Amino acid sequence: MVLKLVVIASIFLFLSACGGGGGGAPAAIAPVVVPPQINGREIPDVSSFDAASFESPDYYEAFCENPRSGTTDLQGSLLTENYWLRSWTQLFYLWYGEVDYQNPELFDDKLDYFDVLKTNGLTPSGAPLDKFHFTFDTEEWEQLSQSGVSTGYGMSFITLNASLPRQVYIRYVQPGSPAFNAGIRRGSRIIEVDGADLLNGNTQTDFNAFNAGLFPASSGESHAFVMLHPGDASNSSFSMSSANVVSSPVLAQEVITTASGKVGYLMFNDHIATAEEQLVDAFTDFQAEGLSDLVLDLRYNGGGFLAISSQLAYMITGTADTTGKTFESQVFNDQHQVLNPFSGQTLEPLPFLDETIGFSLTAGQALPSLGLRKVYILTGSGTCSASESVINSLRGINVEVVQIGTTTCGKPYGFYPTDNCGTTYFSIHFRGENDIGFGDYAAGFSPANTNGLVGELVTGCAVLDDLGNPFGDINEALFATALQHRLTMTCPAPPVATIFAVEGLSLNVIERNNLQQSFALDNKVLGMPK
Amino acid sequence: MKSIFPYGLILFLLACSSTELAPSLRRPALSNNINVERMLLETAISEMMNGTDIIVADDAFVNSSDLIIERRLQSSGRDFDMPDHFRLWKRGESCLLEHVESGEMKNIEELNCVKNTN
Repeated sequence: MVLKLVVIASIFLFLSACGGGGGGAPAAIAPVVVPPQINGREIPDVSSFDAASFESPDYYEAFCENPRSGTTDLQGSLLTENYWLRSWTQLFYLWYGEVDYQNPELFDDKLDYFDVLKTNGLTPSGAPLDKFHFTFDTEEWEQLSQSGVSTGYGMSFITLNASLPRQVYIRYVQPGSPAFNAGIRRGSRIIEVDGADLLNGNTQTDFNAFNAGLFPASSGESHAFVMLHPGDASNSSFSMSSANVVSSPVLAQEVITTASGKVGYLMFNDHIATAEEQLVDAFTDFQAEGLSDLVLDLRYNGGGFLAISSQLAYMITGTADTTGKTFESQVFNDQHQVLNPFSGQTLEPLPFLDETIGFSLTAGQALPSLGLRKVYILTGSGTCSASESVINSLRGINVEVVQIGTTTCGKPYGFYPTDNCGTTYFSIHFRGENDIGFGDYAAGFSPANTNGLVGELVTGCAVLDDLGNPFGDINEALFATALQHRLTMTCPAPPVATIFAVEGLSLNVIERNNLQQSFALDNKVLGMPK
Repeated sequence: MKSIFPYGLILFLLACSSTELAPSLRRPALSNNINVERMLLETAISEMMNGTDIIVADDAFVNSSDLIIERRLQSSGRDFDMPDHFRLWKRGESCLLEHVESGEMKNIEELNCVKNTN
């Protein structure tokens, strides 16, 4: 404050001296205030709240309550961080006009403040419009790995019922992984972890054992399991050592020969970099086989690189249907209709990509294509984001999509994750629209005969996931239904609720909530019941 | 006058052959060295990626000279970034790691490499 006064006084004296030489009455001179600065940046003024005023987020950026060493962070406060959130939301959030921008001074936790900086709007079916508003510790978010590598056993599991007795089943295992080598397979049920009863254990000790055993922190950890494998009459006890496991985004590929032509089946689980090469290999095989139909299994695919979705959609159809067409356009809020506010580039729609772009194959190679005008897509609540883009983009160019399974997650949106002061914020920034400008599927895509709350209806059949049969098996419920629909255009009776079929049994359980499906962090921490 | 050119050319070619850069594979490690070698790679890549925490598979660079690095948490659903690519090279007795996008090279002294003949 003293410094500020001295600066003002000095400027005033300087200007007075300059004006004194001209004779006559001195001109009126307004005092000039030079705000205090740190490292050449003005220290944000957060002394009073004006509900109608929004500074640029740049003004508050990196003024942190706890500046990180080795970064450009500067000493700020909780309030400067809250003000940054307010301005950042007002500038970039897709529904910025629907936010109640409360006084930042009223929140003593920045994450609590972030939580209220979103729309409370609902979809036509009554679901929250914005289901994807969350944060990560920046250090965790920025961690890297070899494409597809994660520490664990190479098994993906699902908690069908979190209340007691818990029902935790294996969805799939990665070939060659510790889980695979231990004999674990789709439909195996986890009974015990390191001696803790996963079905009924409910103490903190139990939860500590579950988390340590199911989510090992590093490779080389050994943990004891008891599981019941499909078809077995008794439990199996064994130990597994964790490893840095490489997952295969294309997990299964089959060609079924029928009287009416060959049908390809492809299970595609993850839009990671290695998917480019694996998809090209698969479609090259399919092209050589001369398929008459394709069943694309996206039931567990939470998205990823959008360009890979575009390549996939192209490989299903081909040049004739995609040339000059939009795969997906990004639509930001009305303050950003010309430039992408994060890249600064002119907004251009993403076309259907007809060549490799260098994810895992040398860029510029022509992609194979099947020339199909109809595709069967197997779905579940895990079918999310870039996976839903495949459905939406194909529908946008009049390629028929037949959906078999359950309602997709409903995420026609995307983020530009942004760090401030060590927290990375995920707030919806854009909606993806197809060639005909459609991107309104916040309630997901649903097979046409789905009971209960549904999303955007798509031709097809509502069928529950079938943990009792392997992928690509003609008896697996979703694949079998696709084959049936292909021949007869009919569906089995739809399920009355979202339940799973396991080994012929229907379990009265609620399908997993997939709000953050794409992070593969589901179930990562089993918490104590509240 | 006797030209020294042929001798110079021979020396130059010898020098070139000894420093030839060739795509390389990590020599399959003894089992008790797997973790050590993996950590060597992780440390080297991390240093070339601003110190970011990173994990690679036990068999990284064993079957291929190329390695793709991306965000561990996989995605925010619709991603627009491109992954980073690393390539292993052998020059003389040295094992070099290249960050393809930047061209930066790093010598990993303790790593055992053989030329990739695939």
